[in-house]
Amino acid sequence: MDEVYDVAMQNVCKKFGDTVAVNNVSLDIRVDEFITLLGPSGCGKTTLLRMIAGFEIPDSGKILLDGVEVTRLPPYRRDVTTVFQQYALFPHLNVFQNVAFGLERRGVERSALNKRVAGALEMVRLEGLETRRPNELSGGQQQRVALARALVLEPKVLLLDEPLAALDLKLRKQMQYELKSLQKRLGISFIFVTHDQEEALTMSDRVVVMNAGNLEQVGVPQEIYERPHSEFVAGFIGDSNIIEGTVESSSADLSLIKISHATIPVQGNGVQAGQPVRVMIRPEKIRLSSHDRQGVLQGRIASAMYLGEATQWKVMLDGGQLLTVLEQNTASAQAMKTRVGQAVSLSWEADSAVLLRG
Amino acid sequence: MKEPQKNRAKTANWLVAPGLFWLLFFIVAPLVIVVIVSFATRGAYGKTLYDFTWSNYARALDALYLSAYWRTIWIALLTTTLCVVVSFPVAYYIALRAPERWKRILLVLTVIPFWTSFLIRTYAWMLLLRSEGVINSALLHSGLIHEPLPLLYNDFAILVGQVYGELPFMILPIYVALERLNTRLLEAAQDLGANRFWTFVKITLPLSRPGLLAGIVLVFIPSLGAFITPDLLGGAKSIMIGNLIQNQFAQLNQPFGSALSLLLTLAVLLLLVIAFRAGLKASELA
Repeated sequence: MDEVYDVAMQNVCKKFGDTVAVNNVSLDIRVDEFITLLGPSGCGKTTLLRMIAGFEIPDSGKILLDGVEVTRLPPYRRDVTTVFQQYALFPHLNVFQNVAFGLERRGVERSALNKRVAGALEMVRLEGLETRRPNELSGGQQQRVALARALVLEPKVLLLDEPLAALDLKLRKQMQYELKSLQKRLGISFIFVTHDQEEALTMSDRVVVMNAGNLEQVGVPQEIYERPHSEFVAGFIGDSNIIEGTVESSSADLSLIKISHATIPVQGNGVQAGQPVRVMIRPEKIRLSSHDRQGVLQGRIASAMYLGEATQWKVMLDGGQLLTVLEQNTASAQAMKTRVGQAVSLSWEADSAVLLRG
Repeated sequence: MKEPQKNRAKTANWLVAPGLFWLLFFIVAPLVIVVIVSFATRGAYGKTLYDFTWSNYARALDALYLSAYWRTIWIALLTTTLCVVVSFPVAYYIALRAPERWKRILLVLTVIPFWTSFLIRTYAWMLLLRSEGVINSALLHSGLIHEPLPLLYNDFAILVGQVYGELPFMILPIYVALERLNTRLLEAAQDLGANRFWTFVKITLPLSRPGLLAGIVLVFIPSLGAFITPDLLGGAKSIMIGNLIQNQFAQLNQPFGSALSLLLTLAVLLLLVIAFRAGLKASELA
């Protein structure tokens, strides 16, 4: 291994009793990367984060920080800091003392300490609140104190455990933006745990999708959304339609899949003729047309739901399966009602559909 | 809209009536009597003569009694200190380390002594501590000592009995404070570079201070007024204020006993004021 990663995990396993929390996970996190661990609750994302922080010791496997093994090192001897889910601010200390806590433990001399605390508070725009206690602050302000307290130590890696979960939607959007720009400015890696798929897609350089202790897929947001590897990833991130079919033929990077009476081209290979497969297509990638065309899927509009900027159609395929289709409301919404019950053809670009493995 | 609420508030006022009645007749009234009696004198055959005088207070400040005050304060301080030293690790273990299903069992074990009268438990200590008692017999039998150790009828015995009796009143409030402690805060401290020692000093200890203060008040004040333990376990020289007061009332010198009681009450009030100044909240004593 030539490249030194900020964090490298090698075959990390962790069990709690009989429950496997993290199952043989290997993951490298690059310098100044914003990486998100995404998954449903209980998928092991928080356990993984806690092992990097040092609050849990893996049963087996190794964790390296900046090329040095830290697997069994206690939290206070690791160059990472954490922003906790409920912030975990010290209630008996004021804002200044909270932020200064880590610097004091590191024996930073007083004038340097004052300067660094002031700098950190300025960074999160909390100047003037130094003497407030945490319970005198709003949720957003507490969040910023937690951030300042962790970042003032200039860690190699910042761990964030669902830090935005307790904030209301508007504040959350704002904090998402601030966190992202902060990370770019500081140039350190952020490891961000969330169960919010939208948050993961908008903020991350790379997304790690976890399920039941396993890494399902690791990739940039576009990859995760456009080319999910498994039904789980497709289903967890965004809406998806899964259609069953049989492979008719497969060439270099295009396979023809037979679905009821139609034959649909799908990007992807590694399958053999005659094999049953599942095809994933996102609702917004499907085009509906009222012209009867040969060789494409046919169906009938079963229902419509008006979503403001778009309309969500449910289309009953001739084979009996119900698909969801999302269409931007470019035309007037008046015609919507009249379309229910109409026969439609469904089509999409070959590279919009994904062959699912597993 | 406002009327029903007002009515409900009025009804609620009646709920405190029994408690108020109790306080007035069984605490305030006796206290007033004690204040009056403390300025009286003892007549022939123990009769109380109501002639206003400060002489009881003057006598209470006599060197003879002052030494009893100091002894009392000293033993109460030692009792409280030992209780803190013993209780904190126990409360810490129950609140933060014990497996969940053990917690309740350990807490029940902590309060189980209350099921037996304090007097009987003190007699049990006599059986343990006296020269031919359980401890001395065992030590003699094992050959570790050849003479029985003087375990009973001294200050050591008083301390053992007092610490034993007051321990639950220290363990429980500290336990409650530690139980409320958010363990994420301990992780946060370690995350920021504090090792176990500094995490304890900077986070655990300050955040358990309300419980610690409550425990200190709950142990120190009864220790000041203790009279069963010194009476049964202490020696002839180990007299405490509690015994002194008891003796005065037993010898029908009620005026002097009252004056001693009031001085003790004033001392306790003073200590409570200090404790509240130090940040104790009334709700934490409950």
